[in-house]
Amino acid sequence: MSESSFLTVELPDSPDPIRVAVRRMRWFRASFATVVDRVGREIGATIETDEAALAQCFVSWLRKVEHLNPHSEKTRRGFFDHAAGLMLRELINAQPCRIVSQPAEPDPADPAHFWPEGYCYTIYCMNVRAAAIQQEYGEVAASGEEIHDLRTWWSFRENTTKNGATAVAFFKLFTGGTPNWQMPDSFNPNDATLLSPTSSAPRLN
Amino acid sequence: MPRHSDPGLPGALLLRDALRIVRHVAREGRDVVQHNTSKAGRPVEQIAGAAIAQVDRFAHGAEEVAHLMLGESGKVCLPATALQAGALNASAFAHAAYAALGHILRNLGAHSWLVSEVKSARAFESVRGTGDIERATALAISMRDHGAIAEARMDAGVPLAGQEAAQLAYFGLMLWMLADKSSDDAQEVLDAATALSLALRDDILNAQGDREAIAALLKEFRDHV
Repeated sequence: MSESSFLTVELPDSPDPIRVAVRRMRWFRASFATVVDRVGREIGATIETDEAALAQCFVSWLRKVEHLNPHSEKTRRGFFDHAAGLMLRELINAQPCRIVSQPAEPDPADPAHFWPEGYCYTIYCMNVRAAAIQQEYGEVAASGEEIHDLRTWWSFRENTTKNGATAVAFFKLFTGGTPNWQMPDSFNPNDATLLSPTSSAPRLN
Repeated sequence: MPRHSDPGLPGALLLRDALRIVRHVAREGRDVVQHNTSKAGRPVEQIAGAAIAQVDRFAHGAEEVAHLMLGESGKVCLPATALQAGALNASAFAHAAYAALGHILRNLGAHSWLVSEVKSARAFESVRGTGDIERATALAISMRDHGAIAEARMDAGVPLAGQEAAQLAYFGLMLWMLADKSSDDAQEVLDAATALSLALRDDILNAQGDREAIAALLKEFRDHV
């Protein structure tokens, strides 16, 4: 699969590694606000966040991730991707963003204009994942071509409205991976594509 | 309000509570009169207007005295070791809890509230135990039993009753006290604790008085504030 790029946003500083910071409400709120603000400026729209819905989403995601975490070195890298996909699922289910004013100059061919809320959620998860795997594995995250494809976004929006779980599969697609469309939100530790890299990249504890 | 000074608590703490009660009653009284006369027609409204002006002056007077004597800054702070046995005295805890509970209640959508430092101090004094989760759990229950939040009135449209907001506020306060505050502004951490309490609303309200359930929730979320 060819590699592409996505809107990268500088996330707030944290004395903790990103994988720890994102499991803290204070950083989660601050980083989400940063991304929403950036997306809003990029497309010329005003986007509001329902903090209560966002907090609900955080709790729901945290519980799921804590429950599913295999605590296995072998599948640790794969779980980073899966956890980010689960966050996208929770954000789409909770819908914390609301467009207060539409983009000043709408571009119907741009996914960010087509579905600004969904774009915020996706870009947030992609940036958190990218920052985490950069810290943990020294890996530079890219994205699949589909992130720019409007037809994929049509399908993304339609499918996730009917079944939020498909967000995990779409996220995999957007990050250049191979989605599991049958059981999109289940984490299979035996999946060979989830194996952690064997390189001894510096790791934070 | 106690009629005599309590030998176990400093006079300043009792005075602060007394002044806050006066201020609260004055504000509430003004609001009640305003609300009930606003639709009663011109003659009643005019008569009531004079009464409201009197009550308003009284409320402002109480406010001025409160600010002068209490030095209320609204700043929330508490040492990181607050929950360790013997690390903090009851008065210091009550003073910090007063500011923190007010901040939480405001964020939860309350427009007026009455928090008692005396009752918070008594709740703190009654708590035993050595572990921080154990102490936080006991303190949350004790504050509720002592009625540290005497009253909380919610804004119209807020889907939370005053009593429920009080439960969430006690939990949020404990979560804040347990959380690592070393690298962030204490108020930011308190806002995060409040958001967590609101998101855990059903769990917290179902756990009322259940020591094990409250302890489990505090343990589950203390590192995620």
